[in-house]
Amino acid sequence: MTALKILGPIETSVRKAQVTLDELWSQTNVETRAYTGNIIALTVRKHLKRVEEALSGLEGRYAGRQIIGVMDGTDDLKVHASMVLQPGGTYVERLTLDASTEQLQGAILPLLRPATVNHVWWGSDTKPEGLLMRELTEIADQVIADSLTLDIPPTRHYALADLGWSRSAGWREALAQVFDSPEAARQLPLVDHMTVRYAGTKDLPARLYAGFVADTLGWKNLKNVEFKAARCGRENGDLCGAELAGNGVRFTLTAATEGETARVEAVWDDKKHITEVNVPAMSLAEGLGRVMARPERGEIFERAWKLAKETL
Amino acid sequence: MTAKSGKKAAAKAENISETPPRATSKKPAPKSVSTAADRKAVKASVTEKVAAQSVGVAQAAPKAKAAPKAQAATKKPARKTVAKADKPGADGQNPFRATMRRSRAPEPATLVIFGVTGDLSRRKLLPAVFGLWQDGLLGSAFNIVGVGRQEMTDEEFKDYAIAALQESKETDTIQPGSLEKFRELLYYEFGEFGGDEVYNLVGKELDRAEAAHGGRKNALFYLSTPPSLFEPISNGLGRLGLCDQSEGWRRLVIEKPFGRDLASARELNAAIHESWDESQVYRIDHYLGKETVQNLMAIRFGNAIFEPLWNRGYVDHVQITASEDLGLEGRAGYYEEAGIVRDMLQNHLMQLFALTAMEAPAAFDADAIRDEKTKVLRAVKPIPRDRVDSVAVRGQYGAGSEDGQKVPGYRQEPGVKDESRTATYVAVKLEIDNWRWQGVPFFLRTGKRLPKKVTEIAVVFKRAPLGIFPGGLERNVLAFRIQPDEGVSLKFSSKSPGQEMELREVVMDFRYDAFGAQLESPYSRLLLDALIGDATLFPREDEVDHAWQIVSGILEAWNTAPDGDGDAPDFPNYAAGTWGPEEADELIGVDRRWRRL
Repeated sequence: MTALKILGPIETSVRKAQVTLDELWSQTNVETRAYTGNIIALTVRKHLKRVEEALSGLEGRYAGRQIIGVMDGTDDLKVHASMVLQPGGTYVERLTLDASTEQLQGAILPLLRPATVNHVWWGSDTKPEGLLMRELTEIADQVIADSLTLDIPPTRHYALADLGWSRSAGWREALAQVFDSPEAARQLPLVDHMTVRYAGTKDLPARLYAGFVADTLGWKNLKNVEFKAARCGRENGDLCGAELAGNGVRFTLTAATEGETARVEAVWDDKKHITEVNVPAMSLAEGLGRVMARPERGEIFERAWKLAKETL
Repeated sequence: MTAKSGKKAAAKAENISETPPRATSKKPAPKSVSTAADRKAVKASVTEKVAAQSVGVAQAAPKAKAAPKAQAATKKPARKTVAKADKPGADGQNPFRATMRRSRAPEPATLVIFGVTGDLSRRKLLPAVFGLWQDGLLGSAFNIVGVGRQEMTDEEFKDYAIAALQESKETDTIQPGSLEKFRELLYYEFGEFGGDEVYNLVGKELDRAEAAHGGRKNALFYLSTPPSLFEPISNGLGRLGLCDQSEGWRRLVIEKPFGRDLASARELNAAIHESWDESQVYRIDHYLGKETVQNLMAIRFGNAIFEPLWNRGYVDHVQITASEDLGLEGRAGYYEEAGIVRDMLQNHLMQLFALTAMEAPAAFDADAIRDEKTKVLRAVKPIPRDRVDSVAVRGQYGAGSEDGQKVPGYRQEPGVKDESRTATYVAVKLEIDNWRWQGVPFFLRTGKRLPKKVTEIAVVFKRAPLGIFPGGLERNVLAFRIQPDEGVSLKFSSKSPGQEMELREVVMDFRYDAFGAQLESPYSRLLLDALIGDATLFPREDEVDHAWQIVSGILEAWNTAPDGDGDAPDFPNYAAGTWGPEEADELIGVDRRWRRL
């Protein structure tokens, strides 16, 4: 990963934050400012570095202002402002706040750039609750969280996005490509069971993936789905492959051990067809960018979530 | 064994066990392949792996009738067990695709590029296809058949294409291992475009692709060739039945120039329609693939605040500029024949004009948008020969200075005749006879060796009816910058700081690069659309016809070729590095001026 240039951080306060950012802007010699949205990332110290790295890779097209709230601080609020250089020479603004959750609640809201899209990313492994989260979900257009682990059900108040779901988008697209051929699509009514293989120990994205396939094929539950841990050189939680099968038909996607591709073996009418599809692994930043690009309610995700949740 | 058969023996051996190898002979098939029986025979011959079979001389094939629409049915009967018609997929539609963000994706297909060793293919097309493929947008079963007159083996062509990708500035960042995998998709056939043999070989490539994909024989034929070859290739494909859609969709992409005048464009259309239905024909105008040109529609029809002002009540005039700072760049042969009217005005500028002036379409689909573009082109006041002097200005650059360097005049460019009368600049006033635009002139200008490269559409609004502040009133301008510095700006008046109520012009500027994303090549967008079957961004036959009608009088009046009787201009009449001839300032009229870009 190439090092990204960061101007700052400069210690400031909630009231002086905008002035500090303006001073940093004047040092950049860049006229273009992307006022495309706010992302409020709530985390704790042990995850702070990972969150910062992910946000550094997030382009300004998704959010021109990043606000990181570190929730395990004290009542003594600390605010730092910085500018993060993006590929292409533009910058995004970053404000990092370290305080208790009560202090953060009062500090974050005035720092939001108004009249634009607000994304709230819960970048912590504790279940979000309390006044801070309630206030933020009030103003959020989108809440991004590990929804199965944290047991956040989809609601009508905001669009819920799951990074595990987002990062398996390449596998959903790969499966769709297999059935872009009408002949292959016509075999789908014969498919009656499925196996999903996942890398490492985290099987929740695999369950969401299975929920997606099952929902699309009109299955009522995931009882005909088997989940298997596998090794394919991909990150923990990523998929290693999937197989849809039934009477005389079989469609198998298998991650290549090298490169970001999957081998597709399709069998129907006693004939085997072998192709290859691209399944690019998605970084955390790319996964964030993907969900932030369209912060609308995802009904397909919500239906997949319900089927996946029933298996836990 | 020929070089051709040698490379095929090794091809794709590791891929699909059931996939037959490609036919190896360069000789044509013994019979026409345009009938169903013959197509089966060809397929059977491929399936039976008669790779080195010798075949006889081609016969003239009966003309193939293009099927009006691609048939959904396949040749193979559906398995009886797949009778649950209400289940997802039973109708052949992909239920997963409907849930994807990319709700439209190409079916497995073969892209056949005629003229693949040409400049356009090397610099633009191959990088665009590679970018789409690397981004996973071309599906699981896609390959490319390059076709040329030059003798080359598959391996030589693969080397050629990979080298082109490595050299082109248009190629996306190459991911590790991508080139090696992309190489596997490439095949090559060669032959004379006037005969049958090369089309026969292309047909066999489609057979092979069908066997490999397990799908239908979908094919996009891209004519990246000199215009003189459009008709022979279109005819050849038709003669051999390759435009027939009973075994998969077939589409024909044609590069500009589409004809060299109204009569030749109509002749070309008629020739193409001998074999192809209009719904199968995709005429490329790469300007329409530019993101910022599409953004013009997004801003016009995705916002409520602009459309109420977009008419004769508020707009004083519109300026559309496409200026080039470069000279001929070695294209004298083409340019001496074409000139600026054919090279830029009839196609690119006319498309920008139509998108700016058209009514809101009923939907964002091919027919709705192209209907509206055609309507506004029809409404343009005709420019017969006797009106040309009052609405059009031409120019040719003389020696001058560009970017601090002395540059030669047009007539001093290599390959240009000493007394050449070819125009390198044109400005034209278009008037639209409809309710929206009556009395609002559209000024279009384009030229070579102007001070900078810029393409812009500027909607210049009327002045406020009454000035209550000191000083004069300025006009608001909404400007769409197509290239470079893509974006949109709005010029308006604001109070200057101070005790006096003095106004000055300020500009509110949206730059497209604020999104922080690299703009896609227009060719990649248009190729993907053609593969999907979306003709929205491709000019239709009637659009092209109307665009030629608009410029016909100009071409006639300015035809100084030996066969023409047009006026001899006093060229050169502008210096390289300036904004064109003075007459252009007279054309735009008093109280208006060309934008200083």
